[in-house]
Amino acid sequence: MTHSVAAADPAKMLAAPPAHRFRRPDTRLVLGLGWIVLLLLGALLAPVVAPHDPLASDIGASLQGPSGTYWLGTDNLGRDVFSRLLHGAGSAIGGVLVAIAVGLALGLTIGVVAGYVGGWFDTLTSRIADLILALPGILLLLLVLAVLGRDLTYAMIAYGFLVSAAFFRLARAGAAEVRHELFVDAATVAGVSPAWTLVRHVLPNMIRPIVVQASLTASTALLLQAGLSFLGLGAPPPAPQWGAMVQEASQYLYQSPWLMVPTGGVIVLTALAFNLVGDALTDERARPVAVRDRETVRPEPAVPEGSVLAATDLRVSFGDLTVVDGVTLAAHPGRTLALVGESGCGKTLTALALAGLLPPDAHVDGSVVLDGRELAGASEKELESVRGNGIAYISQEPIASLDPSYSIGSQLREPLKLHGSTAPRTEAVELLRRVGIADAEGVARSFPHQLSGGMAQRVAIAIALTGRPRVLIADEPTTALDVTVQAEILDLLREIQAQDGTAVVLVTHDWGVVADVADEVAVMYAGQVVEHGTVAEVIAAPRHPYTRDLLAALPEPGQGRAPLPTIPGSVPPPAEWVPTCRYANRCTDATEECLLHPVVLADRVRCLHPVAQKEESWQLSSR
Amino acid sequence: MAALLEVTDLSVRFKRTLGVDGVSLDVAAGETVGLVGESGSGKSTIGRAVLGLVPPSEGSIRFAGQEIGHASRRTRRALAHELQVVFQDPHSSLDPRMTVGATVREGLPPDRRTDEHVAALLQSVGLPADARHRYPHQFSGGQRQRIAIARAIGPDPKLVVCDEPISALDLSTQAAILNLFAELQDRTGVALLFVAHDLVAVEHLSDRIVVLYRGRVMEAGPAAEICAGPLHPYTQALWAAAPVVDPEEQRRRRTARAAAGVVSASAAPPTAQSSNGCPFAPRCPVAEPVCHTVRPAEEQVGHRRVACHLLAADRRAA
Repeated sequence: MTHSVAAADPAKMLAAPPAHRFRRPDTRLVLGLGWIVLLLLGALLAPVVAPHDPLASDIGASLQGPSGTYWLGTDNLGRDVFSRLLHGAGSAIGGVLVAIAVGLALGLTIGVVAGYVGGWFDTLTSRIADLILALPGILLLLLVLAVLGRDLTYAMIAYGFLVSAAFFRLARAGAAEVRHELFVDAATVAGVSPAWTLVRHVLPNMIRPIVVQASLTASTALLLQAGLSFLGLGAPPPAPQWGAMVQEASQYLYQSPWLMVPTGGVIVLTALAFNLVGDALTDERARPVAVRDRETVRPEPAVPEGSVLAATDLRVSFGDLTVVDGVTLAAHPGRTLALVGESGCGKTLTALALAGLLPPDAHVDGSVVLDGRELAGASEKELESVRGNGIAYISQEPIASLDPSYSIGSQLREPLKLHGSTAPRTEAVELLRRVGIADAEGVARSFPHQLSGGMAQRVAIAIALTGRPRVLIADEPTTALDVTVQAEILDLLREIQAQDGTAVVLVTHDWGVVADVADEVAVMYAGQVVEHGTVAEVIAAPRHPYTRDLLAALPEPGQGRAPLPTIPGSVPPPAEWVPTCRYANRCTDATEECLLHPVVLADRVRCLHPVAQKEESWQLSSR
Repeated sequence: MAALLEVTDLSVRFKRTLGVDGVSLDVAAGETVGLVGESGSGKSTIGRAVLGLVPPSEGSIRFAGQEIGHASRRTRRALAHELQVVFQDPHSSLDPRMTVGATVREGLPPDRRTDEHVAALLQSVGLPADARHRYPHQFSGGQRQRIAIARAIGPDPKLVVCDEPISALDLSTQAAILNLFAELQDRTGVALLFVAHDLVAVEHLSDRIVVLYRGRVMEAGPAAEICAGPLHPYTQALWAAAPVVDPEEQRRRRTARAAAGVVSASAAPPTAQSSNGCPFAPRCPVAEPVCHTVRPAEEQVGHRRVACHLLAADRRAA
């Protein structure tokens, strides 16, 4: 492959540099972890740091507020609250760690093995986990304490046993999910042993939910521990324990309300800290950061005559990211317009914008006119009146587009009623017959999961037809289907079009499908239409180098395994779209000029050096 | 010469259905065999059975003269360097948390796990040598598939099972990956079992083709010969349904397809798994009573094997 234009750099300069920014650590994480670390240090260094002996009482100074001597005041026996809190932190956090360690050790190991191995071991351990989750926890803990004596460590071990069921479920689900990832299969094929696969591939991929669960367990363990010692089930007095301190404070609530503040506060703050850490880890923060230059190209102005649907300078953006950039196109009654391009070129988003189905955070500019009515900027209510009888939409995933909990019949009757049908039941069956379903009554009674992909797509088309739409937008309607079924669905679309005069906008990446059903073609690249024309024109004599290269790269029947022409590089992501020609750095025909000025769509092609039509000597061979 | 891979009467049963039903095929050293079929044809299952990812219910799989259908984990591990795989989806086939270098290194024999070797491998599939320090998400789909190919060819395998290796890729990268397979094969002499539904891509790369329908072989033989003139009614229907990139020609083919009268997949009654007939009979435009009751044997027709009663009858008549 010849190297493309030497100077790809000016293009890079025009575009914003690829986003690679320092990610500021989550404030919640900093606060939460900060508090926990502080407590740990305090607990470890308590004998050194604590200003007083936690057990030394100063009866003369009982129930005092904070002062220079007693930073957080004193309790009923005149002991320093701050020192007692510091000394108590050790057993509080230690207990939490014991619970988590037991939970992890039991739940994680058994869970990972169960999820990975499956079979009877999985069934057995899952049932045991269910059983543990159903146990009344507090009763078990009280029982443990009654039998083994008043030591919260036992309670925390027992609690660890209880929460191990939650860890088990997480680990099992994670391992079972990762088990079916292809990279685990790949490792197996590569001869990696199961144990090593678990450590190397399975564990790292489920670490996040485990950490989150651990942080939540930590806060509940802390509260539980405090609760037990509040009930007097912890170590006997005068040992400093947080829960017992709260209990003491509650006895003197009226004489010295202050005492409750530091004792209760430290528990609340610590539990909060664990939760903050969990929250921060739960939110995967992945906001795309990208900036783009505004484009100043004039669109080709046109709402072509006779068109039923026309988009002019349509732009779709998410935040700062423009994903459809100045698309102008028109659909005519009884004809099919194909939007062709690779993934990431904005063809599906264009289709969704035409149908008014973009997610709420999308920003739409430009105009979409259906039968003289402007849809861009129309309210949801206005759009509702258009959807169905103005524009209908068929998606790539026919089964996913049907509601799994309603029968096919009822999913057809509902829109039929909306469109004013008086006999929805018979009409539903008629529609199913019309889309080529022989056993229409049977299918009407069945549910989506009972249908094959091709059958489901027929049903989806029937639903789309309930409002007799003027425009049918089909987004890769056959991509998920087998080739023989694809041919049938395309035949069906053609038939409906011939009968009803529907305008079809078909999104596809398959040039064979284009050749089969399209009348007109718009080729999209990086959010723009780079070429449009009749299907014969575009396929036989492509004018944009991208269209030419794309068509040339297709293997042809009977050609043998001669190397295929290829296109270097890949479609740039929206953040790297430049105002000048976006294909220039992959194009063999590009010159310096292509990197300097924006290129407009003129004479059906967006290129400064369109492929000369006379030079177009190669013809697509036929079988 | 003995075949490198020899699959004989392979059946794979899933709970109640037969995913693969008595399939035989072989791959010679350095050869590419394409497995073609629609969903439910069992083509991917055959690949997975060869790789030891699903256990065969019946039949044998011999690799380099050794039975591997029920090979122990130890045998499999010993085989790992000779038998490799490239999966369809380059996004899920690479561990997102491992660097590209670590992924490629993992499959290599211990004596070759050097940075130089990994770098050379990555360069041989058209990636920069420093790619090994990066993570899969930093690469495009086509580049990831190159990484997966580097991992597969790293230990110099004799056979690579390619399970729909280009169908998840963009059009402009499919050609590059097909070229890469061809180039690697010319250079290293690796054999490929190429599983795909894209007929043109399979024909492009394959020496021989095996056409499957509902777990059974319909037709098998030299790729060019089958593509130029499919004999089995199913192969004919499959070929006729694949659109060509030429509106005029496509119109002619459409008319011809309508005239052939293949029964629509949605109108055909589902075949009972236990039925002995030809699985394509309910949709076949030329089926006769015998097709619904007797399972057609695979008959040799020139260089091909075809499982069709009518062809067999024609040959007897001739």
